[in-house]
Amino acid sequence: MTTAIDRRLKSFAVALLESGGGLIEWPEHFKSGFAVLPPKAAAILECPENTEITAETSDRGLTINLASMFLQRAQGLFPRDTSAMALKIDTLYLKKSAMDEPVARAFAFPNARVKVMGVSSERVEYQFWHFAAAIESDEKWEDLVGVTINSRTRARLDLPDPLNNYDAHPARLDQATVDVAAATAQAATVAGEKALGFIRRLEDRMDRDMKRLKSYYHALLDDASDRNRRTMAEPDKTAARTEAVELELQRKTEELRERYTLRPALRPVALVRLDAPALAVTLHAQRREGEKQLNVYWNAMSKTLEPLACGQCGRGIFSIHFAEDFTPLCAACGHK
Amino acid sequence: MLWSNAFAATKKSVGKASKTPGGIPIAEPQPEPFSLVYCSDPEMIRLRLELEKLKLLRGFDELLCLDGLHAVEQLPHQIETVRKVLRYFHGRVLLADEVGLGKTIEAALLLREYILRSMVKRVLILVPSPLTGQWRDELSGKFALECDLAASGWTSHDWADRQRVIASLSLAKSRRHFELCSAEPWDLVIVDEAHHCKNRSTRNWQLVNALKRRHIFLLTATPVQNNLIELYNLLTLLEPGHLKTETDFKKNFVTRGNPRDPRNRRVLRDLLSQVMVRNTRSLVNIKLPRRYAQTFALAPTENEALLYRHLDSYLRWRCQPLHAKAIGDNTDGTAEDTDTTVDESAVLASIADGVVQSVETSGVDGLTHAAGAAKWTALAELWQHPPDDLPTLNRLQINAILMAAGSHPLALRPALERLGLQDHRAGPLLELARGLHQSAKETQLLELLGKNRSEKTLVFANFRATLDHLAGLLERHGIRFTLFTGGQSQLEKELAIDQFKHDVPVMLCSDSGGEGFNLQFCNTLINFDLPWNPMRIEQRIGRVHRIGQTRDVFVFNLCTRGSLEEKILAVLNDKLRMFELVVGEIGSILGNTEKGEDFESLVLDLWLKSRSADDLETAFSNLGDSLIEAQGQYLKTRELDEALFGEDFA
Repeated sequence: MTTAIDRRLKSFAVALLESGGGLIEWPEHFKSGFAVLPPKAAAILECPENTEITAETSDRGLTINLASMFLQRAQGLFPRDTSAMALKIDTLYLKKSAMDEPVARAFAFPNARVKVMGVSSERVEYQFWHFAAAIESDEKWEDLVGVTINSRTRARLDLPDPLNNYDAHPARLDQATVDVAAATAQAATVAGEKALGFIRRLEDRMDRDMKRLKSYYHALLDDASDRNRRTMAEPDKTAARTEAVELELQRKTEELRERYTLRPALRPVALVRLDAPALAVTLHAQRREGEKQLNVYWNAMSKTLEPLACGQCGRGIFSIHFAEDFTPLCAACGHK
Repeated sequence: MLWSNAFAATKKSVGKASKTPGGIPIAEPQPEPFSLVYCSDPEMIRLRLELEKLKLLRGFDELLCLDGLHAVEQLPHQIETVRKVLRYFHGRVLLADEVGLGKTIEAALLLREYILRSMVKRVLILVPSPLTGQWRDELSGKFALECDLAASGWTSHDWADRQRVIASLSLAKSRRHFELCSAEPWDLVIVDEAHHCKNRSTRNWQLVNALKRRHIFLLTATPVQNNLIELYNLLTLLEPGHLKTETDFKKNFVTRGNPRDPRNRRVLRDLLSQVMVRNTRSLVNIKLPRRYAQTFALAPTENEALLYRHLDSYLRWRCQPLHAKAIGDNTDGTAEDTDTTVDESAVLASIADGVVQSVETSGVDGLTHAAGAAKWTALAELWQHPPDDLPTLNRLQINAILMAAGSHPLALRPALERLGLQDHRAGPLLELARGLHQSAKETQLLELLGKNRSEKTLVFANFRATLDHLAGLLERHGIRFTLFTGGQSQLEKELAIDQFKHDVPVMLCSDSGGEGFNLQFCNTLINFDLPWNPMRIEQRIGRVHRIGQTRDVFVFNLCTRGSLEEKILAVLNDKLRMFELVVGEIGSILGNTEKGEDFESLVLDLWLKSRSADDLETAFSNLGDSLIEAQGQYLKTRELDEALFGEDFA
């Protein structure tokens, strides 16, 4: 373990234990310190209430390092459900100039005529989700995936951490706007991109193993048929032997596929909901005989226009292909 | 977008299975219940996210399995093996460490690591029958992994409901269970003593081959016992086709006309190194000092001898059906044992003769005067008839009583008291035992301790009553000591060790004591009594003869002349030179004999089958011969493995 990780673990442990009512005396640059823990925390961490706390593996007290069970057990100090927090920013500067030109610069509408109808100040909820993503297969891949979405458009955005925003204060927000499925779909896309290398590696390995398996069993079949020719075996026996080898190959192939099967999982760990002012730009879209009004948003935190979400794949899009019912689609989904 | 469809299934119910472009199936994620818990302090969210990030920092360099172990001595080569298997072998490996280097510990560490990382849930551990209990106890006690022992009455539900199962190979391959356990999907299968699966035509091999598993560990110190095809067969269980077909393997790697001689060694070793880890003593630099053993077979006192003789007769009288079964079960083909018809009256007569004879030849003290003699004669009369009114003692009971007798008359007393409650005819035995406060072994023990005052000495005894008695004896003779038993708390144990190390010259120790503690400061060990299981004897010696011991180790065995323990020692020490073998080798040698892995049961069988002292003598002599043969076989195998593998696989 590097010293940096050592320090990071130590400050995490101290903050966590103190936030739960513990008293920690662990001076900087000391390998160990002392902790007085509430009974419940001590029980969860499986250590005495008055305990030594140390970075070095030890049979006594609470060991804080990557190889100890501390991180595993510390999970028990948090609720099993997703931790959430609701914040609100009361006021933000909203762009006052005309939006025609910024919309024209930011968006393209290849199959519709679109014009800006007007702008209005609205309150929009932005949801900052954090998912623990994992894929189990012959190996395991894990990562922490963060996605931020506009609860109105479901589009994925890139916004600064609201926990560091001094203008944000705790608030009560309507629960109805929380859409875990939409967030999961967005997180899945991000996780898929992050895990691409892992999946490619597994594909290569499975391909290699599959080839090896097939060549082995085909060679067995060849061996068997040579032997049958030499020994003039009865056709029934020959057929039975061939069938047995083929069945075995089938079984082993299935087993191999099962071994490599990807078992993805996304677990929402935390959600920060932020209610903030935004500028809604109302657009009028006309396509063939149809027409529709829709909103795009100018984000007061990033000071940019936000993308819309593709109605099929969920990707954030600025080049918008409208479906017949004016569902916004990305180029790929629009051409399907 | 590669597999985001799979995640999207939480939103839409997608029925058909999806695949990556490379053809890997994607399982549909299981939707989990979702709810939010609100907090008002941003720090809690930050801490939770930090926890998740820190968990991700744990690569395979940071082993999780090492924390929370109890009394496990982790050796560097074992840790390295665990890392290697995790990183490079993807959970399919042949662990072929030399005997005594801790394959079982490596497998258990790997199992724990996989479980802690949630990479494995359902585990099947296949082991030879006598080792099932040991595996369960070790996994539970040392690795905090609870497992179920498969039982013959298990149904398909039992197999399906259990997450971690230990099954004997013989049970799992039985007609009833073969289908049941091979129908279950296992995340990990561990096969201990995997050389039992060296032959493709056996049900052992077929069972392991049929098991549905994602990961598999095969454990054996001797992957090649007779010829190279055995190795091929084992590796085919791991990765079919890794060594291509048997014909290809023979053509490429086996010298024509000599199936034990490999050719193209470099290529073969390269291929093996992809699926096999083999640590050797020289490679991991484990050099232990020599150990020397001396056995004292001590003449029993008159009354002791009388007690043992009558006890022997009484037990034989009480377990006649077992005697018949032991003879009936016999398969070793010796002339006398193949005669499965039991002449019950002859057995009874021989028992009664034994009693009368012992009365006639017994000595001078209280129990041998006229009244005592009359009592034994009356008993001999009684023992002419089968004990119709009494339940037969089972093997476990007989075993416990005989072992207690081998320890000390005081250890025998509680068992005799129980027998006395059941059967008044056992009363005289109890009376006799109550009159005995000292056995022949005490004098020798005191002498050894007296000679060796400057050295720390560990004294082992199986029974608590014996230990208590020895404690009193040492006290009376002014020898300072400390007591260490399995029943003590961790703190008491630590205190006892500390005292032994710094203050007192002797530690009285039970079998369950001492594991995991460093006692290398002591190099002398006295076995006041002797476990029948050689592996347990090894465990005792292993407390001092381990890494860190720099001086030669001396083992003194005390036993009573004519006892079963003397016969066991004669076989293990005089014939096999067990005390000079490398740790673990005795297990491999016993494994080469039929039923040898369950040596304790084998000894009891010999006792049950024999009708006289001569019978028993002959039986032990035959056992010794078969063990010498097994040792020869083991040595040949070891040479073959050394020649084949060298030191290239660690």
